[in-house]
Amino acid sequence: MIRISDLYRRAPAAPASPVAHSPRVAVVALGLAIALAQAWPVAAHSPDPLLGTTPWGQNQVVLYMWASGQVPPTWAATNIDAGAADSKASRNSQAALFERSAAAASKIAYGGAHPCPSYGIACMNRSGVPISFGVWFRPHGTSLDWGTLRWCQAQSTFTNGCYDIRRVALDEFGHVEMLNHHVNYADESDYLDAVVQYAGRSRPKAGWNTHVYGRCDIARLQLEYELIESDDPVSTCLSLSTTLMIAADPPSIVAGDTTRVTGELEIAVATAAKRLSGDPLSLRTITLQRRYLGSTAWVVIATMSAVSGSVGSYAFTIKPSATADYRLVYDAPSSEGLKDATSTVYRITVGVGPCSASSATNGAKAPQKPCL
Amino acid sequence: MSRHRWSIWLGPPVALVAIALVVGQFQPGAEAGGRVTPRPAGVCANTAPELRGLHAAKGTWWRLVDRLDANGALVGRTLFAGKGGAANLTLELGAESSASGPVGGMVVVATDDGTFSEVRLVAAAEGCSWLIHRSQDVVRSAILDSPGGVLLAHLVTRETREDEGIWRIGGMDPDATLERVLGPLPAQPAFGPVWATELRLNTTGTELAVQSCGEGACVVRVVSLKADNIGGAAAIVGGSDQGAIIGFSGERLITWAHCQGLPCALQAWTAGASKPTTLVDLAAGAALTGDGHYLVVVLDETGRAARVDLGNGAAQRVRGVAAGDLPLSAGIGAYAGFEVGADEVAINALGADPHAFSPAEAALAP
Repeated sequence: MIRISDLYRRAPAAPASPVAHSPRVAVVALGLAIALAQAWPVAAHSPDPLLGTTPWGQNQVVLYMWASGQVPPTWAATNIDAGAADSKASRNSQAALFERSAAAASKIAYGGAHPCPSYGIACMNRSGVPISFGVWFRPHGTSLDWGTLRWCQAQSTFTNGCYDIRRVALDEFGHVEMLNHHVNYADESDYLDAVVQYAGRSRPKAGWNTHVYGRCDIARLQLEYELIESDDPVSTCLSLSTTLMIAADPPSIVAGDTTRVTGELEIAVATAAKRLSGDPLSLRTITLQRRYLGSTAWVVIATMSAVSGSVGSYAFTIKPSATADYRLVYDAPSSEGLKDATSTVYRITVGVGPCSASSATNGAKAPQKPCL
Repeated sequence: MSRHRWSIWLGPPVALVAIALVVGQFQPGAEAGGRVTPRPAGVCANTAPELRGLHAAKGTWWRLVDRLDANGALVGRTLFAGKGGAANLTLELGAESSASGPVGGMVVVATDDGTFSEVRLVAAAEGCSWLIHRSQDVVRSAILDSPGGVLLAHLVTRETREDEGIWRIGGMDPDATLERVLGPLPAQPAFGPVWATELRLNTTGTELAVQSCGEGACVVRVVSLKADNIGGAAAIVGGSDQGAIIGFSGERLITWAHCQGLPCALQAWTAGASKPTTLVDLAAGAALTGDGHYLVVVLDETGRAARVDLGNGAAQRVRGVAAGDLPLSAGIGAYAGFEVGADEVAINALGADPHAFSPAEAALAP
């Protein structure tokens, strides 16, 4: 296989990996069912695959205009623009933003010349990223082997079998972002997890007029572009490990004093987490638990508060009366694609009397009350 | 198997309609993208040339332009054809229409008026055409098989749109009986409806690749066109992720991956293999030279391009492709054609005039 990056690092005359010589295309009868049965691999449910290798910049505003001589009719233009707005509203990430302008490097065309395969009703070219893209829509009335393409919005009354051009526009903007077609379960029970689909559905099949990205579209966008804010939910199409760290300041006190327990919650550093790797997670529910020395039972004593101005940080001030072990626990809700996390055990030492003997905990000595 | 001679029972009324249709085809056209205004076209005065072994007519071209109504509905298409800078012909076609070639300066046009389909052979340089076939069925597309001296057409039924398979059109009698080369693709529920059927010949014209594409995958049936075995048992070439066919390279089929956008991977398939060899991971455009020797790959919109020698797999960066240029596709959805030499490909910026590009002669990029 020739990778573009390889080709452009290679000396001009150097050959690429050899293409294996293959036997002649023999005219032999094979079972068609065999070939077709191999055509749809069943893959595990997961974020949309990647399309291309180059992302847009985070929150990059990408302007587009109608291609000269291929301007969509009003009903199409309105809904294509709505598709761009749908992408912005439902991206749940710092993916690119598409906005129409009077002049732009990117073009959207309706009818006319196009680079699309013959089996699509629309297609896009993102090989110009991060400068430009192109999108093409086949016109209402285009003939295909099975019949005639009908865009719903071109009709005064939507008829069954028509395609929602606004949904298709969102699909194409998803491709332009970097989303490849979602790999569904064989029974397509997860079809609504993605707008970006091999087979877009026509009216009135479920999902025919979806105007927001699905959770597995969003999952890929978050992996490639990060969350907008650290308190935004992580797509449930992901299952990312989290890391929770605990500290206290001071780590050792004398009875009657207070100490501030702090925590940091972040997505665990991992290649699979891509751009989310190590990102802080704010405004999650973190509980502080205590276990007295000699006990095995952990008891929830508080819910940590978010630290204003410090993303992914949590704090709670306690006034312990005795030395004990503490830990933080993040019980990830089912509404997010995150895994539970528990911090390491942290001992907070409480000095109990004047001139008490020091005890080493957390690398620090227990304070002594000044001897009077 | 043969098609019925429908003209026998339809009789004179249809003949009148057909005359009206033929006359109606030839209206003065608009300018073709800045070219000089073509003269009104007509039926060729002479008889059609022998199609077998046509000589290349480099520089002949055609272009299809959609005609939309005020609501954006496709109501027809206009074919412009010519040679060099001159547009010699315009043809008003139905909304369901396609063109292929040129091969030896001949463009094969299929057009449907909602009642009948016609297949026409257009002499691009001469600016005239011959009616080759009429059908009650819908002719989705047709290509010229010059080595065999015939046309090959894909038909679907008018009412149900069921695949009728591939048919051989010989001679110049529009009502002549057709010979079936390949039957319809057997129905496969998992495949879903077929969206497009593509036809490609190998370089010697001894094999025809018939590709049927659904929304999720494509499958190719390769059928023999050898004189002693026309329509011989079809080989299935397909499997996961096969996209639009580009063409034959010797004993392999070169296709795109099943993408609905660009960039996309390029693949090589052999009969019986369920998985292809990936040739290029991401390309924005690609075409084979007519001899199947080189695959020209445009990598992005900046004009970065490469040639892949399919004999030994060597890939080299080449100069000479301008920013925005892409190789012309040759499929049923093609909007333009441009005849080049066997060692060349046709490229253009979308909607612009095509030109020839020779990968063998292209300067290597540093």
